[in-house]
Amino acid sequence: MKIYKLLAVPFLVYVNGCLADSSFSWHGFIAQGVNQSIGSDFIGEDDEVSFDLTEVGLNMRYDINSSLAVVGQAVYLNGGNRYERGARLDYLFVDWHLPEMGNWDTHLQLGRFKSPHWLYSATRDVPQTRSTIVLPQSIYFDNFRDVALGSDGVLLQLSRPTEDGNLRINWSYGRIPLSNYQTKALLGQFTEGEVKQDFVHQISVYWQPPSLNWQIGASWLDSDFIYNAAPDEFLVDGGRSVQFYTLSAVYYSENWEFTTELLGSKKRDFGGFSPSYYVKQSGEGGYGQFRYMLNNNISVLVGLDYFVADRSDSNGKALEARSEGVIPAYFGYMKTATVGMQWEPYPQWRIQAEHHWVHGAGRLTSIPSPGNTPDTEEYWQMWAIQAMYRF
Amino acid sequence: MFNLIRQWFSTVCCATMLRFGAASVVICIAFPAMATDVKVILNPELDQSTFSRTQIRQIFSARQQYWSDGTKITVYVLDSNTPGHQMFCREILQIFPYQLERLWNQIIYSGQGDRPITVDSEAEMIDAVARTPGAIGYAYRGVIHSGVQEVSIQ
Repeated sequence: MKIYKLLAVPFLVYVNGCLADSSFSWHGFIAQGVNQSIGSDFIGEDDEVSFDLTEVGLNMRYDINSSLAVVGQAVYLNGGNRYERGARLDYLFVDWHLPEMGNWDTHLQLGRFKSPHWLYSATRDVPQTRSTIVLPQSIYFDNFRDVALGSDGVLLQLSRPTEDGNLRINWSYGRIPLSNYQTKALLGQFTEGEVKQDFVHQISVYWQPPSLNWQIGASWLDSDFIYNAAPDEFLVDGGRSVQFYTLSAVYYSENWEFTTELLGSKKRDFGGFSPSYYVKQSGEGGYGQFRYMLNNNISVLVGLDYFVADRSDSNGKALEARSEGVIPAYFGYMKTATVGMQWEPYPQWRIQAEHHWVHGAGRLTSIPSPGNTPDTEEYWQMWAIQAMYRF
Repeated sequence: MFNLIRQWFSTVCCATMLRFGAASVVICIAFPAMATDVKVILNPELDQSTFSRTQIRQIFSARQQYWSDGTKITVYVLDSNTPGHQMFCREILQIFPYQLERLWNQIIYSGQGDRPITVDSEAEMIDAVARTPGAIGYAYRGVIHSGVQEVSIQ
């Protein structure tokens, strides 16, 4: 017992000293908009003009000392059919800034960390940091927003800023619980079982030259999902294994910037629809966005986005045949052209507007099945206008 | 064909020179003390006064939040739209102002640090840096920087 007391005294002195240097800060954002999907239920039903474009977030950072902090964010979201509406805890983790070793700056994060692996991963939850209100769905599929945003586990971030350029390496391992809504979005409205993520393992590398005017990056993701069927439903136990590979590049110029991310994916589905069900697919996608800054406050954007679920079935004909006509061929791909603009009338304010022309329905929440007939045509459109305030 | 390329090249060069020449004239008339004279300033209690450009970028992009002795770094900047901030980004950090905004967003919204404090004027910046332990900011050489120390960038 004495040994604990002997250890407790210096520990309490240490904690006390730490707390003496502590600091607390918090930020947030409020965004409200109006949007419409025409010829699709991507946002709402019956082509209605909808105010389901609300994002409210509050994040905080508590520095225990110069190397240890607790960080978190809670949000309320309403994006129509794009993702589950309601409040959630986006992230809550302990951030440990390790002592510098050989010019390597290292952060270790434990808890529900926020993914840094794709270009917009770390900021996709904050309206004012996004290039468009609806991000390119090939990579930032809204239906998977909560799964892709972060995980419960460990994240290691290493960066080496030198006069020769900046190198960043991120590694993470974890899993995130899926809600009932996400299970139904993945497998259909009549699903009664539950989907669990077994693990997600990710690595990404980014490089910037000394001028910092361009950046290249690459990432790899490996994840397994398990489906536990309910006793009396038509589905059986099953699972999905996915691997994603991305390459990205950004070029910053005085008045314009170009951003691109390319995705390759491998997916294996087994069980679920029947004990012998097995589908293996290699998909691909990617987007390119060109932004021109008219002045410090106004910019315009054009973008192209492309996604195909199965590279060997780029027109979706095999998908339609396999489902005996239940799933139309155009659910096998999605091609989008986007124009948009941003206006920042005051430093903490932004007004953003955009229009998308879409061919295909490969990135929709509602997937057709014998009991579910989604209302999406082969060619459809959507637009959105949103006002954002950060504090 | 060669003549066409040469003609196009000389047209582009002339247009570029005219554009940047005109911009320089505007900047020099509007802010006579600023051109190439932006200086990073520090609270006088801090020991270190020589930094590499990489270190300065790390501090102003909010990636470095603490000094080596454990003191919290407080970064002061002018509004992003002011000519002073635009010039600081271009001359000292050698990046475009919108790039700095992106770096702040990445740090702040992934919970790794705080956004710099925005002040309304250069006088307010000098006063805040002078009074706040661990503070850093920027000002122009033409102004008398009483109560702060200038940073040497190597």
